Amino acid sequence: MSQVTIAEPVSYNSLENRRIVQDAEAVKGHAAVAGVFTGKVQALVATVKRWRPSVVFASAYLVVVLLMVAVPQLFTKFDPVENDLLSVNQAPSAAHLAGTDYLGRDLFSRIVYGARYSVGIGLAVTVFALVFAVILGTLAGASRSSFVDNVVMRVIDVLSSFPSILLALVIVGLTGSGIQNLILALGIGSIPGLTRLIRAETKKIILSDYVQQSKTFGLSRFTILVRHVLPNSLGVIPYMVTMSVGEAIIGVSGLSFLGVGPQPPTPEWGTIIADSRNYLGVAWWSGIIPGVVLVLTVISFTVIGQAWQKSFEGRD
Amino acid sequence: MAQNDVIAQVRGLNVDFGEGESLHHVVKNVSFTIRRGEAVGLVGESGSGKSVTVRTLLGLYADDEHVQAEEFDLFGESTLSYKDKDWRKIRGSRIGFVLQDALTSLDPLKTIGYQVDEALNAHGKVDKKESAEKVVELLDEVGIPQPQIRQNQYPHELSGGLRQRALIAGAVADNPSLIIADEPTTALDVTVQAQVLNLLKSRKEDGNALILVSHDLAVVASVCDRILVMKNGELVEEGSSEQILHHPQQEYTKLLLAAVPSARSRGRRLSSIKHEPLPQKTIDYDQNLLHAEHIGKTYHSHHGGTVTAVQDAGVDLYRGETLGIVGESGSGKSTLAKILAGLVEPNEGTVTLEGEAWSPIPERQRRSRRQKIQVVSQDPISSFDPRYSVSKIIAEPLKVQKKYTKDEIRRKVDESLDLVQLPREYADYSPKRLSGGQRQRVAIARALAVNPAVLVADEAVSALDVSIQAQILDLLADIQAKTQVGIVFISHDLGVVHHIADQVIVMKDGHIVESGDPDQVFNKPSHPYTKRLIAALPTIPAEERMPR
Amino acid sequence: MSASQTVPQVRPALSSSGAGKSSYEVIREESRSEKARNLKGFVTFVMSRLVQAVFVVWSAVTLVFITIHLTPGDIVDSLLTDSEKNNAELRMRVIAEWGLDKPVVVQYFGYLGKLLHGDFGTSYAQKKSVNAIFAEQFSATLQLTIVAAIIAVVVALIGSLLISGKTNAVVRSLYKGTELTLLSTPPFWFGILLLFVFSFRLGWFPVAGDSSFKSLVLPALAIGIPMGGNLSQILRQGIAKSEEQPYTLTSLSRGLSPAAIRLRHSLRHASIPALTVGGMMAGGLLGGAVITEQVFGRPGLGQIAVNAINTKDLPVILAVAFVSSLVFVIASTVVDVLYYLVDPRLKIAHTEE
Repeated sequence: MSQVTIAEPVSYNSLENRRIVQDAEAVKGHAAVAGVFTGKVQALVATVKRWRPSVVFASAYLVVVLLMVAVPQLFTKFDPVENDLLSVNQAPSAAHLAGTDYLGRDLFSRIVYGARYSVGIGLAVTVFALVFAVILGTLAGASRSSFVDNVVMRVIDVLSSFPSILLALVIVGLTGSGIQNLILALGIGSIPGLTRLIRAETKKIILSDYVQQSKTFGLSRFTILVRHVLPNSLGVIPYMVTMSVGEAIIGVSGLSFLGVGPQPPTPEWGTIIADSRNYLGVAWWSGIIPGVVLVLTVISFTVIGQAWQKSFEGRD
Repeated sequence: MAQNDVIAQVRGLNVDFGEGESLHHVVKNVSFTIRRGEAVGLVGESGSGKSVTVRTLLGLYADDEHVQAEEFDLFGESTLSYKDKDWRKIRGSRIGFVLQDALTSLDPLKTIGYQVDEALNAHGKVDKKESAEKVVELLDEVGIPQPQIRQNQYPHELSGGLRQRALIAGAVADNPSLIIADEPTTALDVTVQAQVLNLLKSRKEDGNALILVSHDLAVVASVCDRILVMKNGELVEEGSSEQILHHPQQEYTKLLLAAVPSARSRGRRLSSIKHEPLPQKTIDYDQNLLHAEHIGKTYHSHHGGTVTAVQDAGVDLYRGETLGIVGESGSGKSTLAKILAGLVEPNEGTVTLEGEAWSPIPERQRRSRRQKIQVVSQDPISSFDPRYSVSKIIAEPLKVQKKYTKDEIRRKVDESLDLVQLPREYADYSPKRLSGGQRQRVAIARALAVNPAVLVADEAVSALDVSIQAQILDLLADIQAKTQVGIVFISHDLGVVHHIADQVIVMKDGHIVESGDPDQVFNKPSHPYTKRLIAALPTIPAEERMPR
Repeated sequence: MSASQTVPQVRPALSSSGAGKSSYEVIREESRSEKARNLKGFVTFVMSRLVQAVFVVWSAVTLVFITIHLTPGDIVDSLLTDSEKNNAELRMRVIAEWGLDKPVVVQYFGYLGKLLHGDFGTSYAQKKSVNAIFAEQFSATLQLTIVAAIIAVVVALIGSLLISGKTNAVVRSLYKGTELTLLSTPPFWFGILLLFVFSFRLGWFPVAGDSSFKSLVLPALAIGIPMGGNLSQILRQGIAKSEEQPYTLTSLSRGLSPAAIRLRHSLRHASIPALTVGGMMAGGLLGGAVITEQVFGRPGLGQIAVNAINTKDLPVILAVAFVSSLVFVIASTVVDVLYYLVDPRLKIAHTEE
């Protein structure tokens, strides 16, 4: 008698798990590359081959965006703030890859130079928030006194009670607009979430068996904190950075859209989109193309962040 | 035997997971028959394919699972062309399924009454009033007291035993003729286990069939008429319980039987069929390693009162001796172990280590002597820093001493690996690459690398397969003979403790109810609780198999 | 033979308290007191959450108050626009209104007292009471956020339930990709996209205004759909996680259909993380509304806030801070209470607090 497959499968998912494992391996490869990054082209190629396509695309895209932040002049010969009233609202063409806006400025060059503001400020916001989050989160999570934990967390509660866009609006309203104030405003808004994450991770590790075990070796509390707790709790940072940069970019562009970010004619993505609002009927590209670039950037950060997270979870 | 007595007839069952390179052949050419009124035990260690095999009887597969068979008849009907909706008609109504650990096998967000009711109504609606009555009746039948009230409780509000009964009530709700129980008592205490096994046995006595899947030969032996032994996806041996337990034909079955620790195996090797004697150990009663008296520990409960974890406990451990501490969950044995290890401060009483004050004293004074007492816990992998390799794990306590050079540490790591019989190459491995037994060896190597006076083993073999457990127990005995380390061995498993301990303490509700020589305590218990514990213990009803 | 006879009762735990009563009565009494304790626990829980909420709003107000007083320079100057700075009469009025001539503590309590009476002061830029400005415009924002929240929940529920039954890998990754795109899309740009397609190209909806229900559709979609993508991801992952748990296997083994299991069990489990995220989203909803209102030229909190910031209208800015903090705190308190109702395990945890 021939071998017959009995029935269709029902879904309690081990397939999903397997994919997660693959992702985990992919990103482990990523980390390895980061460690030895010079002169190992072959290793790099081999590692990239193991990644999922989405991670490959996201990484490639982000490399381009980061290059735009670092050396925008590499991508375009146009000046992003130079008006050309003879060629306003022109559709995308070979000369103007993304068309021109209502003042005849080359949109492609505005998008390229805008990366420095949108992504650059996004990164700065994250770094700012991260410094406070690591200190506060570790303090709250590792402190033996529940008083310290409570004080820190109540402060965080209060901070998080303002929606971060509105908090930023209020801060900018009180301190005036300007890039530093924008970073401060969005940074303060990002502190609560990151702090909670680090605190939770720290608490989890402090209660873990291996920290308990290391007490029996005669290690001091401080040594345990430095040797076991911090290296493991700070493992979430790459994930937090990627996720939080995406959010910050949305925040920056949103505030710029409201007119409290970098002032015109600075080519920030949010302001480019805001400029387009009144010309959508005649120049759709001026609103759609910068938005697509922005969304793809946020997606790329998220894809890499989620892949990282999976590798992190898969580690245990 | 009449044809309609056959519930399941399976021939040439094969199960694969995955595809291409990641294809795993999990069940290989397995055939068996299940008849009405019989209880069949399916025994095997982890990875033997026993759970996967019984799940095919319910058509429960994972997404990437491929099941093939030459013949697969249930209740006289071939299921080879069954779709999921056909399987659904069988599940629950003709074949019931009971999983391990009802805390996770029952939905924590629904009352137990709801879940039994759901099982009752899974195949067409029953009248509402009628089904409400039936739920109470079912809960009563499985021995849940006051079912009227209990039905409105959530799984977490019930004890482990009651939860498992509620799970069984759901499985038998539609009166299936076959019950499959997959490790139904693994998470339960011995006394509760006995009750649940009795409950399953009574189903069989009512004329239904039972398949009991377990890693525990003694559990299976206490219930089943027939036993199937699986290993690596293959059916190794099949026969009546009597035959499998007393006249096993296959090497593997013999090895499994030999590995079960008990009173009979004291002083002998478990990991080989021949039961060679273990090396002679010498206990030096002049050297007290650990002395604890009047230990008490209370915790503040959330209700505002206090919970007593340990009360008036006294312990003595001598050089080269193994002290067994047994008790069920909540007996306080783990708290006592933590107090002895200096990880929890007692509220009352004192502990001395090698004659010097050990607890309660300030941590600063204790720190330099910490390495005199080392701990091996149940789950080795969680006791390792996830970033560390095997050599880094073992070297960590050595580095704390700050008196060894790099080379000396490397040498000591190698010696420790030798001691626990792991290849030296493993030093550079991540423990994630090792098996459960190997990981536990690493944990033991780390504990012993610093030459401690006392080793506290807290359920150190409980998570291991019986054959691996045998190897670890033998290893501990070898090491003790070599190093004269004193071992505090905490376990819920009476057989293991009887096998390994020189002195035994029985704990219940924070009290030491009985202590003394294991043979004395286990064979002639004086305390009613110990008596009940011993009576509930499933044993292999042996003719003497052991060569004496 | 009844199983209850064959199984001995090993733990007669109630023996001491049950002298003279049948164990049945004892358990019934226990259960009654347990219920009372549960109810009491619930009330204490809600009360503690309310106290916490009041504390958070109070702290927020205090924080803003301190910030203003810490802002470098003369407070009066920071309260006035450049053109008003030389207006002595206005200067006097501001000093009087803010009580700047009094000690800081007195000012603080005066400020708190006014807030307690619901008095937000007078807008400098618009020369009318802040309460009136909010009364005129805030309901538009409330409307928008509520409709957007409903859209988000409906989109997420339908999407995650439909996709959870699918095993087709292509369909699943398409769905996941859509989720990811949506949750990475800023609402204001999504709004522009909608405007472009439905107003400029198709002409189905008005470009701006708040006159009709029609004008609510696009802005509500602009906020609701990206948020729905986010919620859908949480729900879908929650359902998948729940369906890997042993209790799902138990349900399957009892002959339940996957759809029934999803609705009765998995969804409830998935709603726990979704609630957590939902609570945090309340803030995002308000923030999203502020920006999206600008895209569609709608009145509301966005207009109030942006105007106030452009004119440095401090009383209004303070009111915006207060109101948004209040909304957020109310939302998260509601979520906490829902959380408690969904998960019976919390009852124990909280009565034990």
